[in-house]
Amino acid sequence: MKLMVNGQERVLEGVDSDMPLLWAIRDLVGLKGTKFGCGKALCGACTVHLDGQPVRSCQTFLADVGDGKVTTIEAISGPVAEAVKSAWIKNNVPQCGYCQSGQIMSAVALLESNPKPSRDDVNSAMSGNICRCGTYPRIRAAIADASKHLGQ
Amino acid sequence: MNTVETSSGREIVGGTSRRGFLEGIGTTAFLLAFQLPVSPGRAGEPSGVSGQFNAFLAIGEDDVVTAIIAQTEGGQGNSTGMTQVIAAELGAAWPRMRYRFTTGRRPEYINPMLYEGLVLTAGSSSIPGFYGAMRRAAAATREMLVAAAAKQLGVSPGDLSVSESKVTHSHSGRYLTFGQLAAAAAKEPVPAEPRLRARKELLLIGQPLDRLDVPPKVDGSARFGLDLEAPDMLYAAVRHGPAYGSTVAAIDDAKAKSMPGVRLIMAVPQGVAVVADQYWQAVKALAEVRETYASHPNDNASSTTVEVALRRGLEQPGHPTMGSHGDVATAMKSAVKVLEAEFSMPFLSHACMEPVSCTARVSGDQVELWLSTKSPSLDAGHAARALGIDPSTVVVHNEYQGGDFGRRSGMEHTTEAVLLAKAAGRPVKVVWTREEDLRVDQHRTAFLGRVRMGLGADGTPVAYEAKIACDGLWQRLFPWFYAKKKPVDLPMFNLVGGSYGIPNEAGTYVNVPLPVRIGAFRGNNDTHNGFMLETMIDEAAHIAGADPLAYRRRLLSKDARSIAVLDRAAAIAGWGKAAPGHHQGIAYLQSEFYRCRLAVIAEVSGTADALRVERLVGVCDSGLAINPLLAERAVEAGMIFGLSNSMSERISLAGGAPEQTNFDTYEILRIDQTPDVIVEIISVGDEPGSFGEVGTMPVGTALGNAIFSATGKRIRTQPFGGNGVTFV
Repeated sequence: MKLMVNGQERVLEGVDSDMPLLWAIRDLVGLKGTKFGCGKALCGACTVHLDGQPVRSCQTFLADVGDGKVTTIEAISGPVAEAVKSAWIKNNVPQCGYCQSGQIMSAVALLESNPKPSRDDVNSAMSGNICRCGTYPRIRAAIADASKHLGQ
Repeated sequence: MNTVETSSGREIVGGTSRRGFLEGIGTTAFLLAFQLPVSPGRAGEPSGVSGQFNAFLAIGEDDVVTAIIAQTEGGQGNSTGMTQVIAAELGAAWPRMRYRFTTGRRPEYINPMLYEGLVLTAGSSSIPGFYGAMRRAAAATREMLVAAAAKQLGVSPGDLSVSESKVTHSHSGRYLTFGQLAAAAAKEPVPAEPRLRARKELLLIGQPLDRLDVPPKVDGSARFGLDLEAPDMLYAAVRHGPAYGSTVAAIDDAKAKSMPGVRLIMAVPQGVAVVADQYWQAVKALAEVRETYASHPNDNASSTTVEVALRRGLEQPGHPTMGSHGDVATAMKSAVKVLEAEFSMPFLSHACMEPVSCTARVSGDQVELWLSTKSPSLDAGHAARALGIDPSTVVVHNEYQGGDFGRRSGMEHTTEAVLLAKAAGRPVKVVWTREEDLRVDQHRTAFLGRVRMGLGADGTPVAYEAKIACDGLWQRLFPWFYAKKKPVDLPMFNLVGGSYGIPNEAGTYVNVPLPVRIGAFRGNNDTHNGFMLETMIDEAAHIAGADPLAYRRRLLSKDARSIAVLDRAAAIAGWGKAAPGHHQGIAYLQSEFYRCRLAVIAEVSGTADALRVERLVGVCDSGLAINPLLAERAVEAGMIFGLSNSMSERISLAGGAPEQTNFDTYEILRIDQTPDVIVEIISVGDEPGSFGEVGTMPVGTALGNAIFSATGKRIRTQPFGGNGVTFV
């Protein structure tokens, strides 16, 4: 089975097509930045982009991916991604940091489709990503910063 | 000690406070199960770190100073704060500072504020616990650098100054860098009593420096326990029995054992595990395993039986708590009015975003563990006990932890990993699903309390009586420690004898063994004991016709620092000037152990059927803030954590098992219900206090008092959501 991750084609040996993309990325491809949180698409820690759209990789199965292009935190790039990552650093957003890969992937997807989100837009787009440390106010501030930067 | 305990004009007698109680235990006591390794070079401590001067720092020839951090980073920012302390005392340039974690189990890494013999990160005490030791280590290193520089420059040590990673001769301007001096300095004698810098020389202390761990947590490169791997490892999925203590009676693995990749199916102490080449293969095969469990007394446990047990507990005599004083019975008789109330809280789960995992390699008497842990001592002990080996042979690897909040001391998952690795003959990584992580937690104890408060003619409290029934953290998590201290246990602290100076107080604690595993939880006893006191104070203020803030100010009037946090919180929140339809509530926390005074104001809008938390304001004085940015964020995060706990979190039991199994049923605060949060830190004095968990303690009570303001309902059961209000 073939998997296109971060611009590289990977050949996966001995895998079932019902394997969640999450475990293929982490255990077979060896990219650890995408996190396991709940296994039920309830927390957003495993968020990656599939053909540019955010998906929960724990409930996206290899059979669903096909020849789609998967992008993970390690390779997310472009003006929006750079603005988001810079804003995350400037605002010192992470605490434990475990959920932040997923938060960033969701935030990039939000700003790609909606460069000037309202507070309600942010709350709505980000409510699938849990942060147990409670960095939510900092996430809101960082998204606002990134949006402002992109608008300049 | 600082002056915290004199706020009410009464001194807390030494030894009755938690800090006093834990101090002076000494670290020489020897624990059979968790003994320290004989050689500091064993047990996770890489040998031969270049330029290592002592347990706390190393200097490289490239001028880089590496702070060696034996406390674990679970998001609280202690790795940055500890690095900052080393840099400040040493005189290092901040851009040249790095840190690395160690799991070395050296005596220097035992926190003097905590439990004897353990390398453990707990109690928000990384900075206050190691502030002195880190400064002494850095100061000794600085003097060794100066001694080496004096010889090389041919000048007197007294004419040299140390800053920006250089030792400079003031008269000539000549200097040598730390990197140039490190090798020679390491050969200088270690000064026994180095001079510590005066506060004004500690230029980096009090600076809001950026967190050092942010970049790797933004680009995905930070490694958590679940990301660590052993060479040639297999994966294990595990399922535990329904009740705490369940053991497997029989396993039907007829179908599972022939599934792809499956290597091993076996019982573990509380359940069954499948070991396979891939984790997903193990998960799929485990779904086909059918096991039965032996009957267990906890099988019949339910939320009802827990409540009955706690209620019966309150009828028991229990143990008087520290802080009790005066004559409550007489004072109650003389009181103009006596308020009575009952308070309760449910079990909670930590729900760290990183589920529990452990990777183990067992090879003869060589054992290695890779996991997120708050205590390499405890996990080495659990592994050693499971295998019947000497704990000093167990090497522990740990980097970042995906949350802690009291959770990260192993036992079940560590035990499972070593037993499976031994049986499989290869390293095994055990990964718990979210369901196992929530169900088989070290839960925050459920709690029931009954209080009476007598009010005098002027409306102020003349007597306070508080009786609580719950399980005890020390008894459950540190039984060897409890054996020496019993009946004293953590729930007793700060039950009575607090900062309001009530003239007669009586506290009673009844230990009720509960049918789930109990552990540490951010906020611990201060959350439930403060919930009772601060709610009663609020009720008393309303009965007295007084403003709840003014009422507290009056009781705390002798302590300027208490007044300062209350007044500042009131100013930021616009106390008494809330917008139409908005309502405020306040709670106050004062803790000697955390050196903390914290005022929290919650603001809500709407009705009981559709209540919205609009804003939280917190103003915190925990003594010296090493890094005000870290402190502010820690208090903010603690408040949001506590808000989540008090709004919606609850573990209920049926058939011995927790009914909440994932984030659809265990409801954690999400961004759309998160209010704006404003935190201000007031840094005072020269002694650092704690910030990590103090925000959690009073926030639920402030919310409860705001709910009363908004709805007239006094809700004494947490979570408030589902117990009288619905949040939107």
